[in-house]
Amino acid sequence: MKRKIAVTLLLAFIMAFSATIPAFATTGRQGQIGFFGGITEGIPLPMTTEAMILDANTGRTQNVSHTDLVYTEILWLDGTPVEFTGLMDVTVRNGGGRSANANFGTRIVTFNIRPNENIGDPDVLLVREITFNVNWRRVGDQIIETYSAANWVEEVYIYGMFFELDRERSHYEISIIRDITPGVTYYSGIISARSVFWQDDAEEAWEVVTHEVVGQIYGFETAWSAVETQRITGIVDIAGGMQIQYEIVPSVAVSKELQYRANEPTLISFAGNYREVTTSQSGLNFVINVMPTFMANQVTPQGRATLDSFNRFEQLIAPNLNSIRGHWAYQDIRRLFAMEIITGNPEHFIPNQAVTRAEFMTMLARAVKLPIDQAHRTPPVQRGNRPLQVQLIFPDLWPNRPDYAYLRAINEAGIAVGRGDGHFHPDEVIMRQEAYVLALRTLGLGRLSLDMPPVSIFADNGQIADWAMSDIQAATRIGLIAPDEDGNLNPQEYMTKAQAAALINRLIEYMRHELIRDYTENIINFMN
Amino acid sequence: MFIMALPAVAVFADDFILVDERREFTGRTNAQTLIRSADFSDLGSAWPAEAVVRGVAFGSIHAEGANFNQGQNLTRQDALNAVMRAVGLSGEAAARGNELLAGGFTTSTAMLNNGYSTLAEEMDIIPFDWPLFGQATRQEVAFLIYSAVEAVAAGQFDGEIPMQTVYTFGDWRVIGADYLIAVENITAASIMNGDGINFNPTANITRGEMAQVLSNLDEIFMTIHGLERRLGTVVSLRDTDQPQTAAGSWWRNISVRLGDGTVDVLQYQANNSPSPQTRGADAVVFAGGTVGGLSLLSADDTIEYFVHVGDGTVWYVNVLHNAVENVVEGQLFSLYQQSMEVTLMTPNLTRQIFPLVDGIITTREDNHYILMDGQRQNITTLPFGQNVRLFLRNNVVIRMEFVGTPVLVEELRGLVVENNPAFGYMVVVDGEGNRITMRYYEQEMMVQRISHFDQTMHVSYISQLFPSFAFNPLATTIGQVRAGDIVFVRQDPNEPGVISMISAISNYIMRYGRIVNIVHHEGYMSVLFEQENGQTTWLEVANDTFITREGRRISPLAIQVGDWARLLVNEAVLAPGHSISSVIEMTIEGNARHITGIVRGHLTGINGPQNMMMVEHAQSLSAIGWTDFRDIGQFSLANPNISYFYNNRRITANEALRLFNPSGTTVYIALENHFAGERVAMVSFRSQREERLPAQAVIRSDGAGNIWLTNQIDPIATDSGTIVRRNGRLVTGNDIMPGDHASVVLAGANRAAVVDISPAPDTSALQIFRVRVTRVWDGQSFRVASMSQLFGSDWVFTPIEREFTIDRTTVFLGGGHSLDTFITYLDTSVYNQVFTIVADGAHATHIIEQPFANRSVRGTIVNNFGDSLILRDVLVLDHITGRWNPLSIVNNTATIILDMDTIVGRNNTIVSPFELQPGDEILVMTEIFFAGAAEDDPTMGEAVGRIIMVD
Repeated sequence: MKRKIAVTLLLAFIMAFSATIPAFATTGRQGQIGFFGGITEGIPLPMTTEAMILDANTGRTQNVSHTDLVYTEILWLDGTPVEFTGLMDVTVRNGGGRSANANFGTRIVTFNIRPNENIGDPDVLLVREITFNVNWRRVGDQIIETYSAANWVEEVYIYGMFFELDRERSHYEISIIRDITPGVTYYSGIISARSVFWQDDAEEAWEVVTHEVVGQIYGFETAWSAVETQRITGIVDIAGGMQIQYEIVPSVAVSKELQYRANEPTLISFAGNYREVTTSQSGLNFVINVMPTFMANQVTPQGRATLDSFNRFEQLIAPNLNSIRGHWAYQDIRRLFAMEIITGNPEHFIPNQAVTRAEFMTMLARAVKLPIDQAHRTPPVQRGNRPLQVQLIFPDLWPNRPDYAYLRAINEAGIAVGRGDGHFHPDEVIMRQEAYVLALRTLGLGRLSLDMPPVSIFADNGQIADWAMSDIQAATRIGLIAPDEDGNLNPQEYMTKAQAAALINRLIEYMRHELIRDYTENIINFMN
Repeated sequence: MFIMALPAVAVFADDFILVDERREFTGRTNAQTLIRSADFSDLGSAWPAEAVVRGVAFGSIHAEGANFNQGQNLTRQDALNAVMRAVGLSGEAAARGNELLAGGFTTSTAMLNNGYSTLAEEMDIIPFDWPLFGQATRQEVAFLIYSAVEAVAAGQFDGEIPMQTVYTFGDWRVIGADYLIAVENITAASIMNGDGINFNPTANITRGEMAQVLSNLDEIFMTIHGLERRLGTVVSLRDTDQPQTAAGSWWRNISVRLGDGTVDVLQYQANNSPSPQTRGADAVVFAGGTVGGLSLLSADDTIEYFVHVGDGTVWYVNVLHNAVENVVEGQLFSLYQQSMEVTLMTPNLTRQIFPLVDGIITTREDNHYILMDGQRQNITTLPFGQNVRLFLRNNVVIRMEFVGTPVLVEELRGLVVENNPAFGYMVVVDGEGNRITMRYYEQEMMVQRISHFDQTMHVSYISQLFPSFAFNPLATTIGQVRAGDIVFVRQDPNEPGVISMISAISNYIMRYGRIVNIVHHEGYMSVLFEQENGQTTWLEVANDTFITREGRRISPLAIQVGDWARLLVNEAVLAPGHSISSVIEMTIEGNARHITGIVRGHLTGINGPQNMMMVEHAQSLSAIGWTDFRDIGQFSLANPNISYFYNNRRITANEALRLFNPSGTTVYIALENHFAGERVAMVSFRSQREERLPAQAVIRSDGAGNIWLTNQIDPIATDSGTIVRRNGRLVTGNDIMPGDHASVVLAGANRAAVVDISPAPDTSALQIFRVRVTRVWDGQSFRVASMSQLFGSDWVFTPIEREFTIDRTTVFLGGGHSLDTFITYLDTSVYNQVFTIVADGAHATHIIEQPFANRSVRGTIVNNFGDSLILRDVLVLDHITGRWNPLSIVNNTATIILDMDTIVGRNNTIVSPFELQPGDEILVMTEIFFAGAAEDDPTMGEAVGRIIMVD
């Protein structure tokens, strides 16, 4: 009787979600792999052109949906790890009717997981529709989100065994803190759930299976990479007396890489160009910590599931950089030109010339894709009879500068706050220590400094300004900067354009690789 | 809202910072003319320059031409004209001149001069016969000013007062009688001052001096003209666009904070045109020798300016360059972002309001931030009620610092650089970088330390408030405080310099990387640790360091070269350029980054977008050689750290692609485990002929990459392109040790392309018994009546009673028993039952209910399906003859069924049957006798494997 209902439900879900609604996240990526110990192939980062179009449409809607994501989860209800693969939809709807800038509100997040006849084991089926009411508030640059399961239907079919959720006795709660720093949004959350299932065993008697889950969510998002890794511990208690405890670490990392390709024809106006490629790495790794000893021979205590992704890509522009070919920073500069982090006539980008504060900050703002206020993009111009008004936040930072929008964004993000004399000095040459501090602030990892640093590891410690000491120490600790061969930092030296390009490129690579590694391998590879 | 006379403006949430009480003053339309005429090329920053520019701005100085000629003496006519203009009679004088023009005067200058003199006579400013030719003297100028002011605004001077000031001059007798009252009043009002000794009444006056004199007339001038003089600081500049004109002009608003906190807004018309003629309303500005319009002003400028309150215009601005800087301290009472004001409560409970300079406040998504201590802080989280220090320039806040509330207890905060319990002293570096050495008596101090693993206390130990007798989980001894810790130190009030209490917290950081070398010493080992950015460091790891692998504590000797490790490191900077790192904890990775496969084939291309390497004729290395042939194998390149080699030379991926695609060059690929699947770790191209050697022991290695194998005469060389897998880890040839069990693939004579090292198979230490149970002590132990022990493929009977302990870790297989049912009562009683057990000494680790498996089969695994194995080269033991005979000549394979009671011994431990790999050579104990020569009956070669030993 019960089984019949389940099959009907399965069909209903399959039919209801055959349509595809393309969309991308604008409200954070948390939940792109669900909160249930499973993985999807991840939501790719938008391509450059795509991002421009998305930017132009930003603010039109708060509603986001991702549909037909291939989804893999390990099911535990029969006491063994069983792999399910199907599809997942996530929809996020604005619940409270509040504007994006309000400091609190509600959202409704629905996960819909269902089998698909073309993928996965046909004898392992999962139907889960769970709707969370999400209450959120924002304090400064931090957002707190609390998910609470509102509607929840779940049915599981594992090799002839059928499990149905007892909604009244089941709970699913998640709370997430997001910390928005200029270049990176970091988040961390906790999951706690208790799901109680009725199991229809072969004798038509019903047994209770309790699945208790507790877990941690870690993730970050940058313009170049995004990772979510969960570390979940579960206990399955089958009323018959059997219990198992497992730990599972699902993780998805998406990033955008650059690949250079030289052209084969000689008679072509450009020698080659970069393309950006979105990559995605999804995997879940599990370990069974406790299981009945008699199962030792039947169940591998460790396991893994991965999902392949199809990488998307886009050609990048091919500037003519003949004038700097062979320079030590040629590759850095070429990459930054391709990514349009450096713009303008390449002939005017002379590597051994000084880089000004404004030039460096503009590169930095573009490198981390700081949100640019459209109103600051162009000098104030008349629109109809409604004149614009702009604020001159520093007396030497004028709105009719072409780079004004970037400098404004850098200032509003708290990356650069002027030189302490009330002036911004945009056209003065940047000092190394200024550049290092700006780079570190962009990553938002200032906490990794000793919060009271009397001395740094650099031999020329005495030259480091007081205001820079803490951030420079943090940047050293995370491996962003290091002493030169003489042990010096040379903090007061001026920076060349080539050095600036190398530092900015290093920062991007840091976001692409080091950050990802810390949220994936450094967690997953040390599971125990 | 912002500008009275201008069109409505679009309102941006973050633009209206100044919304408190304000007055707007617009520049004057004639300002451009005045600016041009005031910009004398011979003045610069000469002493009367400001007075001259001010005079021009106010209309009292009228000079034509590029030069002012400040040193030139003034004529009487010029002096009269200037004074008349200063008192606002220029218009009237011009009118009189015009009237007189009709009377026959020819030039405009003459007309104007006549206008001034005629008017002056009519107004009794000068006597009828006052000479207008010749050079003016100082007493005459005094007289002119006095008379003119009296004429237009009587009562400004005290009049015929008792002479006082004039008598202070040494030459007062020389002053003409007619001029005495005038000089007295003019000097009393400090309009003219003499040289400190003499007035020099008959001396001539230069044009520069005259300008200064006129500028001293300000108070009177302002009264006459309805002007007000104000002092303030420029706090911000904002633009307001006008409807676009051809020249593209807009209004710029300069907000000026007055000392009382109110705001004046000075407005002028700016535009993009280079031509000053097209500029509109402005005011004359003098800024340190430069004359110009309001565009000369910038934030923080202290200015003196003159506005006409009646018509809302600004006439003249003088930038004062001696800004007053001072610092105030008080309780932070309030901060209004909108009005840009901070209010302090001073110790005597009066509130002081200070304006904030722009740039100190930023706004992002409805949140307002202020710079405090050089850092951006949300306004809502400011320390209201606590003391702050404000740095003021002209009473405007340019910087804020946190001070806090009064210090009640003197505590020193610092970083420990040395702690020496033996000699009872500690060296701490404080926030200012001072090294402070303090003594302590170990037994007479309180010490607590928060460790990295113990940071979740709910309530601090409260003996600081009142005696607490509860357990303080953080209490420790001073010896536990390490260099690198952050400490709060309290000194003994009776014995300064002696620590009475110390609270420390560890200050560690995680480091991830690979162990590339280990040198063992007595009591510690040195580990060369390579971080992921390639940086290497030698670290000393004490033997008692907490080291774990997969959740279990391991000995330092169990760490291998090539292992990946997570280190908890205490990094302390002792002095610039000198830091120490000590390892607090070490976690060794399990098999997460193991080299899971070694593949050979021929490179056929790279799928860039999908990041895959395509290899044709791909085969995987297993213990039985190259297997698993595929026409095309695809391997993920999603690894930023792949190394490519051609023989001994490191090459790039692009070089490899260019040279070896396609080619006959063989490529060897090491694949590593990764959380998202297998990926390429190392790629090595070899051009020489390949030969695979059977697995054998390494008998010697010279540490330089050359190894000697048991059955090879010549040494085998490894190079940087050799893929060396040692116990799952990718290492170099130098890391191969004597005793390693190596399987080598040669490329060319005695040069290794691949060296694969795994532990030599050994199951000799496994104790497997067949026992009959006679007694059970529930859950603790059991006694057996007799037993057989498995040696090789033989069961050897021993008629001795023995006892084995059991506990929760004992694994029960094959029957439904558990620790709870392994008892000698109830209907599942195990009394007199026979079991196979695996023992570790006297402890039974496994109790297996299975048939007596006394038949033996050997073979090499071809495939492991999970529930069965396929063996090849099968040999069956003839127990009668003791000979191993092939099972079949035609198809010498067998299927071994894996059942729930199957146990597998490998490397002296029991492992899961899932771990059996193709290539493993195994001995299988089964209860069924395999008939030999089973050509005609394939089912003959199938049996349940009860005990499987890998050897």
